[in-house]
Amino acid sequence: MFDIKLAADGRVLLSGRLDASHVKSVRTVLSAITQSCTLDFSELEYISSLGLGVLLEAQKRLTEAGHGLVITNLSVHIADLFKLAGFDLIFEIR
Amino acid sequence: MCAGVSAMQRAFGRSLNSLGEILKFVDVFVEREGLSGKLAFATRLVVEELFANLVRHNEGGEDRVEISLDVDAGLLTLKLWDFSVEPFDIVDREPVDVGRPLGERTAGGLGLHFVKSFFDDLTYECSDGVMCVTATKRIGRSNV
Repeated sequence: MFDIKLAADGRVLLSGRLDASHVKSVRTVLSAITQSCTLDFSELEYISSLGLGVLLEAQKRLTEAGHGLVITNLSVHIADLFKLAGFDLIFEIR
Repeated sequence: MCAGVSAMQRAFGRSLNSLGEILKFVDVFVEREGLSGKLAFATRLVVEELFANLVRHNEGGEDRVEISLDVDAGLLTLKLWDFSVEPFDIVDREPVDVGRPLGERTAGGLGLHFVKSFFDDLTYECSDGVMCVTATKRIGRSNV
């Protein structure tokens, strides 16, 4: 089960397993973001390359406009994946 | 197609919408084999990446992909069979440069990069319209 929702404080909360079948819903939410934003991964168990691709698209668009995504609370396994993809170099991770 | 006697094997619909069901199938396997958290994560990821590649690149194939998962003599083996497809080597691709700056990055090739990073060997065969992709990983006692 995967879910993505906007918290009252403006953070985007992702939970469950972000496999390739959920990429469309993530793209819809992220494409509406026009300012710097925090994605909270504390409840995210899993992500694959197509999910990472949607994050990359959003980061490119926001960075070109002088903004960016901050990603927080990555699990150990997802943090390993970010390093393997070089995403630790192109996202602010807290 | 038939894997070893201890393998778990099942056919799934050729659609990314099958992924939820596929990941549950992998869950049963990793629990049965007692794989560690890191190896369980890698196994889910590699199965998804290979499956998604077949779905995206072999659009004209039959509406099923068979997946088998096995551990035998310390060798973890994942196999995916795709039917009625034209030969297309999904293994032989340009490596991804993960050190490129953001403006030059694309998501293409990341899935295969993960497969090759997490597993030891990846092979592709295609004969009489049946494609088989096999990923193997030698696992030690620390992995289980």
